[in-house]
Amino acid sequence: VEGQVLKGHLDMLVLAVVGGAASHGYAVIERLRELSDGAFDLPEGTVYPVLHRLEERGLLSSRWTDARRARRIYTVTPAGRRFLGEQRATWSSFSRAVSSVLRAAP
Amino acid sequence: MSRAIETFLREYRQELARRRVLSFLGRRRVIAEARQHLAERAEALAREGHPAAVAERLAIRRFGAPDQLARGWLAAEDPIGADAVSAWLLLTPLGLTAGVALMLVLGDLVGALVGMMLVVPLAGLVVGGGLGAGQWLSVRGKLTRPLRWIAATAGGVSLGLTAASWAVEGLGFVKGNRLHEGAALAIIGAATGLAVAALQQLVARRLPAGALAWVGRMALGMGAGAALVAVSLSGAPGSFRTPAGLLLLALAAGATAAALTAPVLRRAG
Repeated sequence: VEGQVLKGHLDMLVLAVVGGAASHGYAVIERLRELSDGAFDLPEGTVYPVLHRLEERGLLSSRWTDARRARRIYTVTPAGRRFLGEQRATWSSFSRAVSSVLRAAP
Repeated sequence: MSRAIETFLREYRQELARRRVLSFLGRRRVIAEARQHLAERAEALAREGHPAAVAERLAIRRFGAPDQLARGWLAAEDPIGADAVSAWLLLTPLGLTAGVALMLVLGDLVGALVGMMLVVPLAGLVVGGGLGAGQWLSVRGKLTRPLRWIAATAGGVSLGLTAASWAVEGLGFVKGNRLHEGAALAIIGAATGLAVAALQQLVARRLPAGALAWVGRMALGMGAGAALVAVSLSGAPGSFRTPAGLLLLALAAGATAAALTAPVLRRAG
């Protein structure tokens, strides 16, 4: 998938993945790759600016686990869930409209 | 942790610092997360059958090049636009003045509750809370989270005000003429600005773009603004101690500090 196209939707995708289960950065990038059948194969370090930005915007929260291997675990906040719901609705209506045009046009 | 991963992390940290990405504390967290990620990826690759050294090299390659990653951090920031800078110019003096006004209202109560020794530090927290809230509102979310910013600002005002007030009173500066008062307020303002800016740049994601300039300009702005008011107020020495004088002082110190720090903020955006 073209980097620029993906970049525009990365916030929504990362929120959706973290919304499914509280995760650390490594798990987020793994899940993105799995769920997209390998289409979203980003340099792994690029997920962290997204996670930090979403946290700064109050859409995610995070904490270090105190297990043997310390991991920074991200969780979607209530504001993040609302934002994700809005993004899903916008995306559904946008993708329906694009598909409709592409189907109808010769 | 392997030497290859530590070398990569050192390069990554240097690249973030060179491009002035994130605060010192922010960079520490990013590197800690990267270290954990690389170790986990290298272990996964080793489980797939790669020799340890190869697994680490592959993990590093998959993580991304330090310069590319640093550019990604810069691109992830919301821009600080002209509207935010204008709001900064307005809300910094208003926030500081609101903090002083609140302290004027609460002053007697605070004195009765905590005793005279703690009045200045506590007053600093209240005044700094107003300043921090005003500043955060102007650039919401673009520097750091609200509580972190407001706490750093309040702590800075409290620390700077307390240290400088004790020093100035110890020197007997305040009891002199208006020039002495001007000098005393310049010291108090500059020390407060210095402490505020030093703590703010520790928690802000983007001020490393001009950390020294930030501290210097905040100190100069607060010191100059406070001194100007003390010297120019008509009336007997001590006029600035009246409620109106203190509010004017806060307004002037906030306005000059905002004017001097706005260019650093604009560059950080």
